Amino acid sequence: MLTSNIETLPGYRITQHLGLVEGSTVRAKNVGRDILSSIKNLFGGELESYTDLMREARAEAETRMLEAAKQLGANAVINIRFSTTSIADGASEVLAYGTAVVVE
Amino acid sequence: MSALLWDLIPFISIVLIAAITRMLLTRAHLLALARGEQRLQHIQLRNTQQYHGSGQGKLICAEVVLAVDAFSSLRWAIRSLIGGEAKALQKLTCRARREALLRLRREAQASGSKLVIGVRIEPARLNATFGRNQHRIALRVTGTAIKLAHS
Repeated sequence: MLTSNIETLPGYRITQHLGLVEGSTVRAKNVGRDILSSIKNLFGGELESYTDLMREARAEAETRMLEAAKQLGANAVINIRFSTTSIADGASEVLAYGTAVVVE
Repeated sequence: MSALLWDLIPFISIVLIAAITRMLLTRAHLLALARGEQRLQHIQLRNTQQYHGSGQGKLICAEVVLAVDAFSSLRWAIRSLIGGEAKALQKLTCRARREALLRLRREAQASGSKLVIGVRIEPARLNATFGRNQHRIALRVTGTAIKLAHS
């Protein structure tokens, strides 16, 4: 499956637009790692467990979106956007959406 | 008086250790950023959408979450009373952005491209179960890496 976050797909010609596809996931993080990472708030630094959470959630949402696009018979998704919201404490929702297209 | 001083010693030493750790970590991070940017400066980032050259596009992403340390939080607390630019936080957001863009460049390199178009930098909201009053800076950057057919 081909992907891009712009309105075209460089190297290909879009022949058919199949509409919006989306995929989302809500992920929580282990509270133990949460407590450990809160220590970092003393002297700063990267919160790796949060970065991992964001990355894993984004990959999962993207996979689900691509799955939806595949079922529509698309071979590419263009103009992909991600939005991350915090719907509950310790949980993170990542929504991936884009336009499913057929390219050649 | 001296009893009070003795009571304060553990507190002061924790603050000192944290301050030194923070300084060393910040310095190490800035050094790593400068090195990484130097090494990957041949990969160009653009936030324009138009591309008329050859090559194949592919979506790439990178995330970063930085903790807002206690010292920056304190400076922010004081700054929010008197107003003006919060330099401590601004430095942190700058570091987070540089790190995220560096990771995007690494992703581009991993997929064999020298150009990323349509770069977007977006903030993300993250709440923690523990320490929900602590601040953190979360960013996601996305872009379309252009891979040239012959490379």
